[in-house]
Amino acid sequence: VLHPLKSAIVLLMLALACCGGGQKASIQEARSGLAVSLTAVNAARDTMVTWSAAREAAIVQAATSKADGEAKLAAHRSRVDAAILLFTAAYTSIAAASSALALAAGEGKSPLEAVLLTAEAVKAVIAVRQAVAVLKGGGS
Amino acid sequence: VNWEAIAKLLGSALVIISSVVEQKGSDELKAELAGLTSLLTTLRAGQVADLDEATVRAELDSFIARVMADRQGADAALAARFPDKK
Repeated sequence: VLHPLKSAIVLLMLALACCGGGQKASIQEARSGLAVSLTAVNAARDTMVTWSAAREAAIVQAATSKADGEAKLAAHRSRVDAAILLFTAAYTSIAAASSALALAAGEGKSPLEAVLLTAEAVKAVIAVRQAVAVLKGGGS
Repeated sequence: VNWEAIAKLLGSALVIISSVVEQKGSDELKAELAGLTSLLTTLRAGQVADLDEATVRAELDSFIARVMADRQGADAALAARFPDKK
């Protein structure tokens, strides 16, 4: 599952390298990098959603009382919510970079801003993946 | 590299692995498998070629909806396990 993220970084570097050369090539490479980023963040999302649902079911099963279950579910959810904020940031970054790319492609402007936004999106995806790994590793 | 062929091959392998994991795997493994399945589904559908802001926003919205639905399910299961005494 890590492969798409590595690909995104490689593609992003290519995009940056293309900035001084063909504008069209930069846009295409950045677009590919964004698409791979979206795939990677979706995969991380599905991993987390599945894990979280299983965890909640286990908490309910192990609860000794309703209050105990509610407290443990609340603790689990507060940790998941922190990761959800990172996911929201990642999706928002990808959307912003995607719009900037469409604008650059449509108006024939320099893709530099779009490429920089793509770099931000890739960073956000990396943060998401790290957060999911920490969340799952720490239990709850 | 023929990514489409690789994705199809991995998809077939995943079906076999999934059936084993569903029976014997841990929650951890099942979660990883869900991520991998999502990745392959996307690759096989060729969705990586179509990217626009609306698509990205829709992914986020469906994510939040899934989390909320799962939480409601857990709350209902907890309430069923410990019904309020009248």
